[in-house]
Amino acid sequence: MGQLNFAQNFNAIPPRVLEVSNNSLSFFPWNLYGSVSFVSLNIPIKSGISSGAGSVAHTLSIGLYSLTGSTLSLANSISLTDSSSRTGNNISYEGYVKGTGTSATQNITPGTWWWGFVNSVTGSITLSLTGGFTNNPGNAFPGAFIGGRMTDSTNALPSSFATSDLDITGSDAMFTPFIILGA
Amino acid sequence: MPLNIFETLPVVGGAELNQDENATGRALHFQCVEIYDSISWNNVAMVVSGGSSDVTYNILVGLYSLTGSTLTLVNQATNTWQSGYSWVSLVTSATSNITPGNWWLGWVYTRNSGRAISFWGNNSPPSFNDGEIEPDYIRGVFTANTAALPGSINRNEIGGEGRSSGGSQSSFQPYILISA
Repeated sequence: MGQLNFAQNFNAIPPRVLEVSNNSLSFFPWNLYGSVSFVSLNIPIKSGISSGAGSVAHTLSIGLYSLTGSTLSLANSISLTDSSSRTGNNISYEGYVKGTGTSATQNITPGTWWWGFVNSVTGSITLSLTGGFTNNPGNAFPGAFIGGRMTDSTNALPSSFATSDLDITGSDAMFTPFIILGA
Repeated sequence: MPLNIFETLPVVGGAELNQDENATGRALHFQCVEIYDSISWNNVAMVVSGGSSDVTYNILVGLYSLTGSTLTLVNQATNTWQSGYSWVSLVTSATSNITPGNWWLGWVYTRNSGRAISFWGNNSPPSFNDGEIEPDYIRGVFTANTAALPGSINRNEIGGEGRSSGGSQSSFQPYILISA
Protein backbone atom coordinates (compact mmCIF):
# COMPACT_ATOMS: atom_id res chain seq x y z
CA MET A 1 0.00 0.00 0.00
CA GLY A 2 2.94 2.36 0.37
CA GLN A 3 3.45 5.29 2.69
CA LEU A 4 0.41 6.87 4.34
CA ASN A 5 -0.20 10.44 5.52
CA PHE A 6 -2.30 9.11 8.39
CA ALA A 7 -3.92 5.87 9.51
CA GLN A 8 -7.05 5.26 11.54
CA ASN A 9 -8.46 2.06 12.99
CA PHE A 10 -12.08 2.98 12.23
CA ASN A 11 -13.22 4.61 8.98
CA ALA A 12 -15.79 6.67 10.85
CA ILE A 13 -15.80 7.84 14.44
CA PRO A 14 -17.71 5.22 16.44
CA PRO A 15 -20.76 6.34 18.40
CA ARG A 16 -20.01 4.39 21.56
CA VAL A 17 -18.15 5.79 24.54
CA LEU A 18 -16.68 3.76 27.37
CA GLU A 19 -15.35 5.14 30.61
CA VAL A 20 -11.76 4.13 31.20
CA SER A 21 -10.66 3.07 34.65
CA ASN A 22 -7.76 4.90 36.25
CA ASN A 23 -4.38 3.09 36.30
CA SER A 24 -5.71 0.23 34.22
CA LEU A 25 -3.64 -1.14 31.32
CA SER A 26 -5.50 -2.43 28.25
CA PHE A 27 -4.35 -3.84 24.91
CA PHE A 28 -6.12 -3.82 21.54
CA PRO A 29 -5.07 -4.93 18.05
CA TRP A 30 -4.57 -2.93 14.89
CA ASN A 31 -3.97 -4.22 11.35
CA LEU A 32 -1.92 -1.57 9.56
CA TYR A 33 -2.17 -1.88 5.76
CA GLY A 34 0.45 0.66 4.77
CA SER A 35 3.53 2.21 6.33
CA VAL A 36 3.11 5.33 8.40
CA SER A 37 5.72 7.41 10.12
CA PHE A 38 4.86 7.48 13.83
CA VAL A 39 4.95 11.19 14.59
CA SER A 40 1.67 11.91 16.33
CA LEU A 41 -1.27 10.10 17.84
CA ASN A 42 -4.73 11.61 18.09
CA ILE A 43 -7.58 10.28 20.17
CA PRO A 44 -11.07 11.68 20.86
CA ILE A 45 -11.87 11.81 24.55
CA LYS A 46 -14.70 12.78 26.81
CA SER A 47 -13.46 14.09 30.09
CA GLY A 48 -14.95 15.86 33.04
CA ILE A 49 -15.45 16.24 36.72
CA SER A 50 -18.29 14.22 38.07
CA SER A 51 -19.12 16.69 40.81
CA GLY A 52 -17.85 19.93 42.25
CA ALA A 53 -15.15 22.27 40.98
CA GLY A 54 -11.64 21.62 39.73
CA SER A 55 -9.37 21.39 36.70
CA VAL A 56 -9.46 18.51 34.24
CA ALA A 57 -6.00 17.08 33.70
CA HIS A 58 -4.79 13.57 33.01
CA THR A 59 -2.11 11.66 31.15
CA LEU A 60 -2.81 8.89 28.69
CA SER A 61 0.22 6.68 28.04
CA ILE A 62 0.05 4.65 24.82
CA GLY A 63 2.52 2.02 23.74
CA LEU A 64 3.04 0.25 20.43
CA TYR A 65 3.67 -3.45 20.94
CA SER A 66 4.58 -6.41 18.77
CA LEU A 67 3.42 -9.92 19.64
CA THR A 68 5.71 -12.92 19.52
CA GLY A 69 4.13 -16.11 20.74
CA SER A 70 2.24 -14.96 23.82
CA THR A 71 4.55 -12.08 24.72
CA LEU A 72 3.80 -8.44 23.93
CA SER A 73 6.98 -6.36 23.54
CA LEU A 74 7.11 -2.57 23.65
CA ALA A 75 8.41 -1.04 20.40
CA ASN A 76 7.50 2.61 20.93
CA SER A 77 5.43 4.87 23.13
CA ILE A 78 3.81 8.28 23.30
CA SER A 79 2.19 10.36 26.03
CA LEU A 80 -0.95 12.43 25.61
CA THR A 81 -1.63 15.01 28.28
CA ASP A 82 -4.95 16.72 28.43
CA SER A 83 -4.34 19.71 30.67
CA SER A 84 -6.16 22.61 29.07
CA SER A 85 -7.40 25.26 31.45
CA ARG A 86 -10.89 23.97 31.82
CA THR A 87 -11.82 24.79 35.35
CA GLY A 88 -15.19 25.09 36.95
CA ASN A 89 -18.12 23.16 38.32
CA ASN A 90 -19.20 19.88 36.74
CA ILE A 91 -17.13 20.71 33.66
CA SER A 92 -16.90 18.44 30.67
CA TYR A 93 -14.83 18.31 27.52
CA GLU A 94 -15.28 16.31 24.35
CA GLY A 95 -12.62 16.63 21.69
CA TYR A 96 -9.39 15.29 20.30
CA VAL A 97 -6.19 15.13 22.29
CA LYS A 98 -2.96 14.92 20.35
CA GLY A 99 0.37 13.59 21.46
CA THR A 100 3.71 14.15 19.76
CA GLY A 101 7.19 13.07 20.70
CA THR A 102 7.49 9.32 20.47
CA SER A 103 10.08 7.45 22.49
CA ALA A 104 11.76 6.36 19.23
CA THR A 105 11.81 7.39 15.57
CA GLN A 106 9.86 4.74 13.73
CA ASN A 107 8.23 4.13 10.40
CA ILE A 108 5.57 1.60 11.37
CA THR A 109 5.47 -1.18 8.78
CA PRO A 110 2.33 -2.98 7.64
CA GLY A 111 1.08 -5.85 9.74
CA THR A 112 -0.70 -6.59 12.99
CA TRP A 113 0.38 -4.41 15.88
CA TRP A 114 -0.93 -3.95 19.41
CA TRP A 115 -1.57 -0.83 21.38
CA GLY A 116 -1.43 -0.68 25.14
CA PHE A 117 -2.95 2.29 26.93
CA VAL A 118 -3.14 3.38 30.54
CA ASN A 119 -4.80 6.46 32.00
CA SER A 120 -3.59 8.26 35.12
CA VAL A 121 -5.66 10.93 36.84
CA THR A 122 -6.19 12.28 40.29
CA GLY A 123 -9.37 13.36 41.95
CA SER A 124 -12.88 12.89 40.66
CA ILE A 125 -11.94 13.24 37.02
CA THR A 126 -13.55 10.84 34.56
CA LEU A 127 -12.19 9.85 31.17
CA SER A 128 -14.12 8.14 28.41
CA LEU A 129 -12.84 7.05 25.04
CA THR A 130 -14.76 6.67 21.80
CA GLY A 131 -14.54 3.25 20.30
CA GLY A 132 -16.06 -0.09 19.54
CA PHE A 133 -17.14 -3.22 21.31
CA THR A 134 -19.54 -2.65 24.10
CA ASN A 135 -21.06 -6.08 23.61
CA ASN A 136 -20.46 -8.28 26.59
CA PRO A 137 -20.23 -12.01 25.82
CA GLY A 138 -19.86 -14.16 28.88
CA ASN A 139 -16.85 -16.12 27.62
CA ALA A 140 -13.48 -15.28 26.15
CA PHE A 141 -12.79 -15.17 22.42
CA PRO A 142 -12.05 -18.78 21.44
CA GLY A 143 -9.08 -18.14 19.23
CA ALA A 144 -5.97 -16.01 18.90
CA PHE A 145 -5.35 -13.10 21.27
CA ILE A 146 -7.44 -10.08 20.26
CA GLY A 147 -6.96 -7.86 23.28
CA GLY A 148 -7.44 -7.70 27.02
CA ARG A 149 -7.02 -5.79 30.23
CA MET A 150 -4.52 -6.11 33.05
CA THR A 151 -6.26 -6.88 36.31
CA ASP A 152 -3.63 -5.23 38.56
CA SER A 153 -3.28 -1.46 38.81
CA THR A 154 -0.41 0.26 37.07
CA ASN A 155 0.45 3.73 35.85
CA ALA A 156 3.22 2.71 33.43
CA LEU A 157 3.59 0.79 30.20
CA PRO A 158 5.49 -2.47 30.69
CA SER A 159 8.38 -3.28 28.35
CA SER A 160 6.89 -6.74 27.90
CA PHE A 161 3.76 -8.53 29.02
CA ALA A 162 2.35 -12.04 28.78
CA THR A 163 -1.08 -12.19 27.15
CA SER A 164 -1.95 -15.05 29.50
CA ASP A 165 -1.92 -12.55 32.38
CA LEU A 166 -4.70 -10.45 30.86
CA ASP A 167 -8.43 -10.50 31.45
CA ILE A 168 -9.88 -11.19 28.00
CA THR A 169 -13.56 -11.43 28.84
CA GLY A 170 -16.20 -8.73 28.72
CA SER A 171 -16.71 -5.34 27.13
CA ASP A 172 -14.19 -3.57 29.35
CA ALA A 173 -11.46 -6.03 28.37
CA MET A 174 -12.30 -5.98 24.66
CA PHE A 175 -12.88 -2.26 24.17
CA THR A 176 -11.04 -0.76 21.17
CA PRO A 177 -10.65 3.03 21.25
CA PHE A 178 -10.58 5.05 18.06
CA ILE A 179 -7.13 6.46 17.31
CA ILE A 180 -5.45 8.27 14.42
CA LEU A 181 -1.77 8.04 13.64
CA GLY A 182 -0.20 11.02 11.96
CA ALA A 183 2.96 11.15 9.90
CA MET B 1 -4.66 -7.44 -6.05
CA PRO B 2 -7.14 -4.75 -7.15
CA LEU B 3 -10.25 -4.32 -5.09
CA ASN B 4 -13.73 -5.00 -6.43
CA ILE B 5 -15.43 -2.84 -3.79
CA PHE B 6 -14.54 -0.23 -1.23
CA GLU B 7 -17.00 0.86 1.47
CA THR B 8 -16.54 3.84 3.75
CA LEU B 9 -18.44 1.93 6.44
CA PRO B 10 -19.27 -1.75 6.85
CA VAL B 11 -22.81 -2.40 5.67
CA VAL B 12 -23.61 -4.86 8.44
CA GLY B 13 -23.69 -3.15 11.80
CA GLY B 14 -21.88 -0.08 10.57
CA ALA B 15 -24.36 2.07 8.73
CA GLU B 16 -27.64 3.58 9.93
CA LEU B 17 -29.94 6.23 8.53
CA ASN B 18 -29.01 9.71 9.62
CA GLN B 19 -30.83 12.81 8.46
CA ASP B 20 -28.76 15.66 7.14
CA GLU B 21 -29.51 18.59 9.41
CA ASN B 22 -28.76 21.19 6.79
CA ALA B 23 -32.10 22.70 5.89
CA THR B 24 -31.47 23.06 2.17
CA GLY B 25 -28.75 20.52 1.59
CA ARG B 26 -25.71 22.20 0.05
CA ALA B 27 -23.53 21.21 3.01
CA LEU B 28 -20.35 19.79 1.50
CA HIS B 29 -18.98 17.07 3.76
CA PHE B 30 -15.43 15.74 3.52
CA GLN B 31 -14.16 12.47 4.87
CA CYS B 32 -10.74 10.89 4.71
CA VAL B 33 -10.22 7.25 3.88
CA GLU B 34 -7.46 4.72 3.39
CA ILE B 35 -7.92 2.66 0.25
CA TYR B 36 -5.97 -0.52 0.71
CA ASP B 37 -5.37 -1.46 -2.91
CA SER B 38 -6.14 -0.23 -6.40
CA ILE B 39 -9.76 0.12 -7.40
CA SER B 40 -11.43 1.49 -10.47
CA TRP B 41 -13.64 4.56 -9.92
CA ASN B 42 -16.34 3.00 -12.05
CA ASN B 43 -19.51 2.89 -9.96
CA VAL B 44 -20.42 4.89 -6.86
CA ALA B 45 -23.52 4.25 -4.74
CA MET B 46 -25.22 5.54 -1.60
CA VAL B 47 -28.43 4.67 0.29
CA VAL B 48 -31.03 7.42 0.62
CA SER B 49 -34.41 7.70 2.34
CA GLY B 50 -37.23 10.22 2.40
CA GLY B 51 -37.77 12.84 -0.23
CA SER B 52 -40.83 13.96 -2.12
CA SER B 53 -42.13 12.98 -5.55
CA ASP B 54 -42.41 16.61 -6.59
CA VAL B 55 -38.84 17.49 -5.60
CA THR B 56 -35.62 16.58 -7.42
CA TYR B 57 -32.52 16.03 -5.30
CA ASN B 58 -29.09 16.23 -6.88
CA ILE B 59 -26.43 14.07 -5.18
CA LEU B 60 -22.71 14.56 -5.84
CA VAL B 61 -19.62 12.69 -4.63
CA GLY B 62 -16.10 13.86 -5.44
CA LEU B 63 -12.76 12.11 -5.10
CA TYR B 64 -10.05 14.45 -3.85
CA SER B 65 -6.31 14.22 -3.38
CA LEU B 66 -4.38 16.32 -0.86
CA THR B 67 -1.19 18.20 -1.63
CA GLY B 68 0.04 20.45 1.11
CA SER B 69 -3.08 22.20 2.35
CA THR B 70 -5.08 21.93 -0.88
CA LEU B 71 -7.67 19.30 -1.73
CA THR B 72 -7.95 18.87 -5.50
CA LEU B 73 -10.88 17.23 -7.28
CA VAL B 74 -9.71 14.20 -9.22
CA ASN B 75 -13.03 12.65 -10.22
CA GLN B 76 -16.72 12.81 -9.36
CA ALA B 77 -20.02 10.96 -9.58
CA THR B 78 -23.52 12.47 -9.62
CA ASN B 79 -27.19 11.64 -10.08
CA THR B 80 -30.66 12.86 -9.24
CA TRP B 81 -33.17 11.21 -6.92
CA GLN B 82 -36.71 11.86 -5.76
CA SER B 83 -38.21 9.72 -3.04
CA GLY B 84 -38.35 6.32 -1.33
CA TYR B 85 -35.74 4.26 0.48
CA SER B 86 -33.26 2.99 -2.04
CA TRP B 87 -29.77 2.61 -3.37
CA VAL B 88 -28.74 5.43 -5.67
CA SER B 89 -26.16 4.78 -8.36
CA LEU B 90 -24.11 7.85 -9.15
CA VAL B 91 -22.75 8.26 -12.65
CA THR B 92 -19.00 8.81 -12.74
CA SER B 93 -17.64 11.61 -14.91
CA ALA B 94 -14.77 9.41 -16.06
CA THR B 95 -13.39 5.99 -15.24
CA SER B 96 -10.08 6.18 -13.47
CA ASN B 97 -7.93 3.93 -11.33
CA ILE B 98 -7.58 4.89 -7.68
CA THR B 99 -4.14 3.98 -6.36
CA PRO B 100 -3.62 2.72 -2.79
CA GLY B 101 -3.26 5.30 -0.06
CA ASN B 102 -5.09 8.18 1.62
CA TRP B 103 -7.89 9.83 -0.32
CA TRP B 104 -10.60 12.32 0.55
CA LEU B 105 -14.26 12.06 -0.46
CA GLY B 106 -16.47 15.12 -0.75
CA TRP B 107 -20.25 14.65 -0.65
CA VAL B 108 -23.09 17.13 -1.08
CA TYR B 109 -26.71 17.09 -2.12
CA THR B 110 -28.94 19.92 -3.23
CA ARG B 111 -32.67 20.50 -3.42
CA ASN B 112 -34.73 23.49 -4.41
CA SER B 113 -37.56 22.77 -2.00
CA GLY B 114 -39.05 19.94 0.06
CA ARG B 115 -37.71 18.05 3.03
CA ALA B 116 -34.22 17.11 4.09
CA ILE B 117 -33.40 13.50 3.27
CA SER B 118 -31.55 10.82 5.17
CA PHE B 119 -28.45 8.89 4.16
CA TRP B 120 -26.95 5.70 5.46
CA GLY B 121 -23.99 6.69 7.56
CA ASN B 122 -22.53 6.53 11.02
CA ASN B 123 -25.11 7.35 13.66
CA SER B 124 -24.90 9.54 16.76
CA PRO B 125 -21.87 11.59 15.74
CA PRO B 126 -20.35 13.46 18.69
CA SER B 127 -20.23 17.22 19.01
CA PHE B 128 -16.78 18.34 20.03
CA ASN B 129 -15.78 21.31 22.16
CA ASP B 130 -12.48 21.78 20.37
CA GLY B 131 -9.14 20.07 20.07
CA GLU B 132 -5.90 19.64 18.22
CA ILE B 133 -5.78 16.92 15.59
CA GLU B 134 -3.54 15.47 12.89
CA PRO B 135 -3.86 18.02 10.06
CA ASP B 136 -4.03 15.59 7.13
CA TYR B 137 -6.93 13.83 8.80
CA ILE B 138 -9.73 15.90 7.38
CA ARG B 139 -13.33 15.18 8.20
CA GLY B 140 -15.80 18.01 8.35
CA VAL B 141 -18.07 20.41 6.52
CA PHE B 142 -17.14 23.15 4.06
CA THR B 143 -17.77 26.51 5.68
CA ALA B 144 -19.87 27.80 2.76
CA ASN B 145 -23.00 26.25 1.24
CA THR B 146 -22.43 25.01 -2.28
CA ALA B 147 -24.36 23.30 -5.04
CA ALA B 148 -21.28 21.94 -6.76
CA LEU B 149 -18.02 20.20 -5.97
CA PRO B 150 -15.19 22.76 -5.98
CA GLY B 151 -12.20 21.98 -8.12
CA SER B 152 -9.91 22.77 -5.22
CA ILE B 153 -10.38 23.75 -1.61
CA ASN B 154 -8.08 24.69 1.23
CA ARG B 155 -8.46 22.49 4.26
CA ASN B 156 -8.74 25.61 6.41
CA GLU B 157 -12.11 26.15 4.76
CA ILE B 158 -13.48 22.99 6.34
CA GLY B 159 -15.07 23.09 9.78
CA GLY B 160 -13.47 19.92 10.98
CA GLU B 161 -14.18 17.09 13.33
CA GLY B 162 -12.68 17.70 16.72
CA ARG B 163 -13.18 21.44 16.46
CA SER B 164 -16.00 23.51 17.85
CA SER B 165 -16.33 25.09 14.41
CA GLY B 166 -17.25 21.72 12.96
CA GLY B 167 -20.29 20.81 15.02
CA SER B 168 -21.86 17.37 15.18
CA GLN B 169 -22.39 17.20 11.42
CA SER B 170 -18.62 17.33 10.88
CA SER B 171 -18.47 13.79 12.25
CA PHE B 172 -21.30 12.46 10.11
CA GLN B 173 -19.88 10.20 7.45
CA PRO B 174 -22.22 8.75 4.82
CA TYR B 175 -21.90 5.23 3.49
CA ILE B 176 -20.28 5.46 0.07
CA LEU B 177 -19.65 2.38 -2.03
CA ILE B 178 -17.04 2.46 -4.80
CA SER B 179 -17.10 -0.53 -7.08
CA ALA B 180 -14.97 -1.46 -10.05
